[in-house]
Amino acid sequence: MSAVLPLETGPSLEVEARIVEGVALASAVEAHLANLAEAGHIGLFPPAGRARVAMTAAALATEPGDMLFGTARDWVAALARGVTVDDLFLQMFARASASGGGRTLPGAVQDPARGVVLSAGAPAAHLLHAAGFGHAAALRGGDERVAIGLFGSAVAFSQDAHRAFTLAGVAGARVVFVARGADGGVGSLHRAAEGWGLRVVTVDGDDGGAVFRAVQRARDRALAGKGPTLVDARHGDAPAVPHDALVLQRAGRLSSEAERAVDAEIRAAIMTARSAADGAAAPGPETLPEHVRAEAAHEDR
Amino acid sequence: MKTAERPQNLATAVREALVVAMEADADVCVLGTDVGEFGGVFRVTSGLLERFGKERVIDMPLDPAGVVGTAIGMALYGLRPVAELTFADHAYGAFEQLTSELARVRYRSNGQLACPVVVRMAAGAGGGGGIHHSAHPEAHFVHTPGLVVVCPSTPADAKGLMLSALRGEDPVVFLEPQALYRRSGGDAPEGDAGVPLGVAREVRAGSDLTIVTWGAMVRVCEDAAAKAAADGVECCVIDPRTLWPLDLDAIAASVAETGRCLIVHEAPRSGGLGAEITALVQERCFLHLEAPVTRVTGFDTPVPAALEDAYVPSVARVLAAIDGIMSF
Repeated sequence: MSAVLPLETGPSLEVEARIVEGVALASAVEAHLANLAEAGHIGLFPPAGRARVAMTAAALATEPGDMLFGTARDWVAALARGVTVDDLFLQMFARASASGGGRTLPGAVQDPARGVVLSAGAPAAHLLHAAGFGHAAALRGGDERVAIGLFGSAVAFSQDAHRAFTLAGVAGARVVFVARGADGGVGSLHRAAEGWGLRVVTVDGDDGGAVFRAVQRARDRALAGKGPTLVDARHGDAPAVPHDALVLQRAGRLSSEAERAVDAEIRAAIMTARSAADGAAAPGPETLPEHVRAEAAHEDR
Repeated sequence: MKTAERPQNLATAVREALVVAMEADADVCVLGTDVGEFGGVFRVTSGLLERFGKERVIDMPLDPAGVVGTAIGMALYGLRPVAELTFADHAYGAFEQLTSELARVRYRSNGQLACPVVVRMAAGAGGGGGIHHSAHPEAHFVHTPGLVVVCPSTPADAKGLMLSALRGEDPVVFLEPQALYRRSGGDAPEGDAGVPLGVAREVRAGSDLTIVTWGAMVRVCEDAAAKAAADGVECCVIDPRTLWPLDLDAIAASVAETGRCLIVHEAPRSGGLGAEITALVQERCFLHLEAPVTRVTGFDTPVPAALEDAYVPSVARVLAAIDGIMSF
């Protein structure tokens, strides 16, 4: 059933601080990439906007063996899963040394070693993959892997989203779906998801701590064999009440010196990554037929 | 298993391949609509649920995109799913998952990820199913980089190709000619008898004309070749078995010898695989050709239930084409 979680028992201060710092990093990266896209230096760039809070918190709530399925917009979650700023910029610049070899939409990070597979296909096609991964994990039951499926409210009525919810519910899949982004006026998503056997939890998408805890609990629930959860972490129309500074202050990380140091660290990381990506080689035309199929004998003439 | 009990049709041969593969590899699982308790619409998966349990023989809702999408996720987890779509026409409902997702997982990840899903589907006419249950859509899948496309014509090939498909690292579209599910076609070999993917089979030797054909049309072309031989025309019949990647070397070697090429397939003519093979043959064998490469195909219409026999290439139509080529 639908539930609005109380806020008084959130994650540890350390986790909240990591969320705030992750969001700060994502914000700075996004601002830089948006400028590059505007100037035509990189291709179509999907910004995360305010959803970066939910993306960061959801990703930080996962464990190393989990697989995070999302869209190109979820590159922020990839950062929180351990993809480096350097790797992200190589991907955004479609460089040969990027994990995906420069083959996908900027943002669609392919880093299975870090449990990140972001799709640039149909907007909710990946949710079926999350359901399938979670179904397999539930069938096997021998490990503690869970699938996380991030999606935007714009696809809440898509066939793929609803069939993924249905199949996950029927199968008792080990999957946590996370709706992020603007509310979009989608009111019936909860009733539909509940009808298909998903537990629905609503949290404020601007509240990273609440998102973290909801995803963590949903993950525990999935591992306990209690089925999939839809964490509705969309944010409303009203601007968020900033509490980041308070979190950092309570964590002992906010002082004029510390703030400047964090800013400088982020700026340096971005400029290093930008410089490396600028200088990295694009994939050569000889790579065009690579990895179409596994067998060398299958390569096209 | 006694010789008398050997699989002699496509349905039982595919089933035996699944049993062999599932016994050998605990990661192989089967999913699709009615594959479990019902044993599959064509009974291909009959008995698998009792033998391997519901964790490996998984009944799914009638939702082709959901079946393929789930199979992709399972493969990314590490399983080797065999997804049944029942009829090839249902693949249209899963087209996005098949062509934009499954086929591209390896490419988009720059070789980091494999997605070894085998997607089985009944193809072509033969069941009286009419326009929504008789498609032979190999051209769509051949046109999709990343997919291996298979279409067996005998029980032996059905078993062997399925075993190879389940051991590869590529997604495979496995087209099972509906007309052959219950037709006797010789024994499938016992045990683990894989047939390599990408290797054609010479069904009949001949030096006058090369016929390239697959699926249910192989038998039609064998019958036509036998009749042509009675009139002194020796046809070499080649079944590619794997439609992509195509064993062009085998086809070109034969055409270089015969100088004539006829392609016979059940799918509609325009944009069909026959057109691609025609182009490849003229590129490779132009100086050997004694006559235009010719096609006998289904028509550019859906398959009407009451007119299956008129739609599907017949021995008479193949013989007429052979006459036309030889008299060119």
